[in-house]
Amino acid sequence: MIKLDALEIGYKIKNREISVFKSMNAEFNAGELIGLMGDNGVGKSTLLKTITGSLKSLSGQILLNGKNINAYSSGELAQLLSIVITEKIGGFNLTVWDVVASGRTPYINIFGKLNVEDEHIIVSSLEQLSLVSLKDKFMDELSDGQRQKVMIAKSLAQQTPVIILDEPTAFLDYNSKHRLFKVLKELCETQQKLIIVSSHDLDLMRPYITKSVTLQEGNSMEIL
Amino acid sequence: MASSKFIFYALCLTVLVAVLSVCDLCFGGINLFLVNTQDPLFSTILFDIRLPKMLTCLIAGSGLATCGLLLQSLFRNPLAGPYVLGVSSGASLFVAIATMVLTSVNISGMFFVGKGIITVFSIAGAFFVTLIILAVSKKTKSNVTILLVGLMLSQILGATQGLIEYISSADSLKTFVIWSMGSVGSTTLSDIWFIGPPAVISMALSFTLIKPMNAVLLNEQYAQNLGINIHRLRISVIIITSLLVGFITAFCGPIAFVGISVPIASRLFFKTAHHLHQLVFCMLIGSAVMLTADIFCQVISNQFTLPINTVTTLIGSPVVIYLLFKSKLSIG
Amino acid sequence: MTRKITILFLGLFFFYGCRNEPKQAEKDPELAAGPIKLSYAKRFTVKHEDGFTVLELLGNKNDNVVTSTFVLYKTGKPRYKKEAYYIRIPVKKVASMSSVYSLMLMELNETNSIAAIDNVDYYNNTTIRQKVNEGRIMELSKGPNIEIEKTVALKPDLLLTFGMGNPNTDIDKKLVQAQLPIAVSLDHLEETPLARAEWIKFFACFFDKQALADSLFNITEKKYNVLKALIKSEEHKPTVLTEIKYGDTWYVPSGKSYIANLIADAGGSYFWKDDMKPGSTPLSFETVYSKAKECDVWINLYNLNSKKELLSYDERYGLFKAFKDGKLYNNNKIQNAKGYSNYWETGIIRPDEVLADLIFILYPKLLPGHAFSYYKKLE
Repeated sequence: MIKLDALEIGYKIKNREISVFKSMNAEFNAGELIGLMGDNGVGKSTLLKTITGSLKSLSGQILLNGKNINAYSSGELAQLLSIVITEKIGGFNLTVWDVVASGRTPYINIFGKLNVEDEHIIVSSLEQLSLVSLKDKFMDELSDGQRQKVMIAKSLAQQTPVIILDEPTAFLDYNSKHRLFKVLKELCETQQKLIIVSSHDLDLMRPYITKSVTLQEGNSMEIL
Repeated sequence: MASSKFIFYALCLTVLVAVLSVCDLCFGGINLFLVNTQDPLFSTILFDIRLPKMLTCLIAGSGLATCGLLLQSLFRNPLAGPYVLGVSSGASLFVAIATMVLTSVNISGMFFVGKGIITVFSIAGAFFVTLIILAVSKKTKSNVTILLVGLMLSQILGATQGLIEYISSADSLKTFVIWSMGSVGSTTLSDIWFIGPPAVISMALSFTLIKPMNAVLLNEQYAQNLGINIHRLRISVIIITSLLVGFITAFCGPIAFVGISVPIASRLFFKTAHHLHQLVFCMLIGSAVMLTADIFCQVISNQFTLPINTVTTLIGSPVVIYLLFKSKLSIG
Repeated sequence: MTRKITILFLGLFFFYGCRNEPKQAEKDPELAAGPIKLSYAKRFTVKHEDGFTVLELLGNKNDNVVTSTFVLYKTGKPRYKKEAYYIRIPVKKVASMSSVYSLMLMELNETNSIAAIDNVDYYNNTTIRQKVNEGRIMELSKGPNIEIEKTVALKPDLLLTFGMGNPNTDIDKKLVQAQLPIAVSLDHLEETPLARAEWIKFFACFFDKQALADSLFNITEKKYNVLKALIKSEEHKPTVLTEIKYGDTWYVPSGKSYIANLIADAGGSYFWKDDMKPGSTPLSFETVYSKAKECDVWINLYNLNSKKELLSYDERYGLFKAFKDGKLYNNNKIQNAKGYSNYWETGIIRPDEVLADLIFILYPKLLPGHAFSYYKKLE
């Protein structure tokens, strides 16, 4: 489903290329839960940003369903790949419902009008993460674990075959972390989604993941 | 917010604005009820003096509140607003430059095309400042930095304007003094024809931003992932705010309060994040605030006029402070 | 901003400040003593003591507080009171911070005593302009405030300036500390044109030219009264509107303001002649319009030069009858490159010329062939 082909990732600052990681080759398929590991600064976030298209690759390419990721329009990509990041979402009267409903953005008209089908999808996404009772709560009223689940529900509402989570366990306590991975594993198994998760908690996620990708200094990438 | 609830609130506010509009036409320096309707004085006062003032209140109130809402959502910061970010000062400065330069080169017919030129400069000034703010916002992720830059910019522009006024001659200064003290009462019916359509169109265009604005409330990364073209959204917001602030400032002078406080009050009062709801509420509340201020001016002093800027701030700020304390949640 | 406000307020208050003054009779016994006799001016007094003259400037409060005292002597410093400026006359070096004062000094043939003025931009007078060009007259107030260091360095024998009647804010404390003799005059608060013109007597005292001032003023007064008598027999009095609005506010001078008295003397009917409040009243366009829409004549329109210009500010100005009839007259016939009219120079000293202009505007038949000195018709 996703194929990294001689990929070089990094940043471009004023025409100067700063390479972070070179010659990455890997293939991830539907139904897999990929754990992305590595020390801080080694390039985990850079890799995820490159996969989601918010950073350009320096060389090589990422293929999504056999097509270069840059060849997709932002609208098309929004229906294939969704993200969950660490930054806290809230304020501005945003409720759980609003955030999950935003997952429907790629499918609705410019006035943001939801139809019955959209609402049905939102409700079912909430149900899958047992968030229905919280749907009218403001985001500011939630615990960190609940927030994280809301963001995953948003990704479900977005109905993408690929979900990418950057450090989703960062603010969670031990039990919440386990609950989160259980949910992710279930999604992979029941809906054949490809989920890529970056985390420091190697031991914690080992029982859940189907494949681990470890990035190390010196451009060495270990896939188990 | 459920649709039925939204329609109910919107209707209530519309009725409120309608009632206030009628009140605004009724109150003034002279008691219109004592004037014979056949007397030409009646129609002059009603149609040449009070009607344009009322329409200006509607346009300025709704337009500035729209700008404030768009800027606050785009920067995800309730402190953003056309005045705080220096957009109004930019418009004001460019008008000062226009009046000084044009009168000093003495282009014949300047006064004939004067308002057109002043408006163009006003819009250019607003556009210029919004562009700078956006350039800064690309360099830094910190909202505080962006606001501080806006604040500094506003100071620089204000000081530059002071400098221009200081060195310019009485002849050109007079144009600017008369302009800069202008407020909702200075517009005429033909001015309304001039600013009304572009203001209404700009506000209508803001409804096309509902979906991207809703998505960008999460944050820019999520919005981008949801297929929103952030760059295009930013440009759209710049164009709409520049047009609205430019047109309104050109005719009413810089108005400080409405742009920042109406969106805050609206979000505190109507607990909805959806921009369709907030746009409608802000436009109606903005109009209501301006009308109330104008009526207030007329009632407490039926002879002399009070600057609308002062009155909106005096009656509006306590309301916002009250709402801030009453509300348990942060709005931004 | 400061400058904007200064200009605005000078424009607004220059002539319109109005006070409830005690009747002339109460002051007369004091004044009768000296050769200088004041008939109109109320904001200063002159007393002639043995061998010296005492000038007192009055504040703008009703109680006629003396704001400063000048003891003028020719030889031998007299003993009078402690809180006073003792000045040996005639003074040789004067800093004149208003064009009105400068032109009054010139009337008294004291052009060479003017060492400094405020800002040449305000002047039409060619002599002053030339002398500033040649560097023989300094400018002390190019900006909104007086330049303290330059002024102190100049050490004038006398600094002439004006204020709003508040001794604490009218003059910079540093100038007071430098012990410069400063005369903060409230001549612009005088209510009648002759009262203001009579201030030439105040300035004359510093040069020991009382007799000259008397004769100059007597001529002006006589001419003024002759003109004023012309309109006695007129039955129908044309109505007169003044000023334009600033922003939304139309500052309307009261019925006892300088301009209201001038209009009355010219045989005009002023809309607010019965308003006896001091100062001017801020009114809305609507209020002014409903009262004055049928005005016959409209004068003193800021410093506008054409009807088109007036309309460009607000086309509703065109609703007034005077506009439709083409009877708009502004007092800026002669103005310099910066837009300042000579009305603020000689117009104050020669109210008879201003009155003649106004009479000609209101009753053209009374002064056939009159050529305007200050006014012009806006086209």
